[in-house]
Amino acid sequence: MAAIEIKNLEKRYGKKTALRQISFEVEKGDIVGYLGPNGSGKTTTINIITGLIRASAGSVTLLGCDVNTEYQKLLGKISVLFDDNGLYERMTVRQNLNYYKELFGSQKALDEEYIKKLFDQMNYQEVKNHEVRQLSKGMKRMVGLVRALMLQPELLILDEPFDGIDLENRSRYIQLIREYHEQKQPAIILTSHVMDDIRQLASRLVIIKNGHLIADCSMSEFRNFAQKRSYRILFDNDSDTKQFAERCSGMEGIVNCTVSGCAISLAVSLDADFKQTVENMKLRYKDLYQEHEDLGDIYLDMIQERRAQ
Amino acid sequence: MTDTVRVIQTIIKKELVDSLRSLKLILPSGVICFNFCIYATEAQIFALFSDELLLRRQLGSNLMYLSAMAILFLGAILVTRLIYEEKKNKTIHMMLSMGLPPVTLWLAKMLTIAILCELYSLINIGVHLVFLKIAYGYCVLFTGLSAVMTFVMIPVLCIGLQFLLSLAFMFFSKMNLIGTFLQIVPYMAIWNLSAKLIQYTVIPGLALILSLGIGVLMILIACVLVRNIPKDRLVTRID
Repeated sequence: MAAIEIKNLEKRYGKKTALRQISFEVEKGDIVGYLGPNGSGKTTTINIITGLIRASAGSVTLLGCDVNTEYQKLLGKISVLFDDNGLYERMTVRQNLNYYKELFGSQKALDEEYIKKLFDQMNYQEVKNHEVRQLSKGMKRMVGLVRALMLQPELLILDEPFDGIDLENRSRYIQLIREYHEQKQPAIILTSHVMDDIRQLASRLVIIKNGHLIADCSMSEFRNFAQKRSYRILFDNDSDTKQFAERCSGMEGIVNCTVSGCAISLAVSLDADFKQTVENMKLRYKDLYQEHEDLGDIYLDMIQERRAQ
Repeated sequence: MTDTVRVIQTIIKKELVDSLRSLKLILPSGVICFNFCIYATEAQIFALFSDELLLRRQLGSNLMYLSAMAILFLGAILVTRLIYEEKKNKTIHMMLSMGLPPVTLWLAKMLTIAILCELYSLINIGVHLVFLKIAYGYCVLFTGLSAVMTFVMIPVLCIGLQFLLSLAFMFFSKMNLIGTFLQIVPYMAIWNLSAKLIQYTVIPGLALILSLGIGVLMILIACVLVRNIPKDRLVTRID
């Protein structure tokens, strides 16, 4: 049984269709990145999955429960983090966490050792008596994330969890989510419009654009969507570099060429046999190697390609 | 069922602590203000009644208005704070998305409001009884009917009204105007009733059963209606 099972989901607001025939599954132990540009329908999907709004057509099942009729059976099994953290601003951090723990955590045996470790990682002793409204945005998000993880859910839904968060905090949050996943193996779905947020955690990607599902694949499969390869060539001197750059410009298959000192970075279309072309040029170079394609670039290419279509 | 009771208890505990902390200035100010309002009307009543027994009875029936004022005042504040703000701050999104049924959340909050309103009404009445004894040496006399109305009928009906009023807060995203209007109407009706109560000869037991019946009916209607509010309405954006 999949942790999340979405079948032919549709959502219409009057004449506007926000989601069209979305179907995908999230298995237990999977971390799925739900990716798409702003306005693509991510939040609508999350709102339907979390039972906050009803779909116009299709069905959503979470841990075997239908979201429209059996949602209350999920009490204590599901944890959600929305962009506003869901914390009570006038209550202290301790009161907020205790409240959620009593409300959603007391019907099952929670791993107290894990909670203690989690609290240590957020410096609980320092902030426990602070009212939530006094905390920085990053700290609020940390408390929100700890609240979600503390309940040790079988299903974790994170809606834009790193939005507006600086890099240092982002890596701390990613670490917390990764540790929880390693220990408890829940199903996790996290949304973002930025590939960088997703790639460090997700094992699978579901990409949505204008309400259409445009990709559902593993991270490694996603690399095959690349429409170009990146190469880097190092030269011994400036004149060789310049000469190569001049010969490259306008050459068929070269998408982009950037010179930086005695190095050139090139983006080459997939069908071009670039290495053979360089050999044919009979130019002297120190090194030539293929760079890993940036997943963010692949994602952007994919989104733009679909936009053009 | 056990889970529902436990959840309701947890929410009530949290809301009681949170409300008492955040209303720590408003609550005593309200007691002083309402007692002063009743005292202002009593100055005229003292002149109207030469018979002390009748005067003490009228003072007793006046207290139902004090009870109504206290409950309607605190109820309006609490409904706004506990329900409207939960929607406005979007914490309701979190509660509902984590498996809490809307009706459980609403019922727990309304029970908190009922507990606080009833206590507040009793405190107001207690303070006024002490004030009358100290200031004028009067011991207020309750007839069966005025006792039923002050301690049962008015609290039950006013709290039932808060339950119905909360529906509007649950359903609509902007409630300021409707909320104020709904609060003013019962003040006028109850004042009229308390002034004339001394003339009525309704059997207290009948009034008790009738008021409890109407109050429970109001609460049940509210429960059924809340159960039927789609979640989409509850998570409507509020600016």
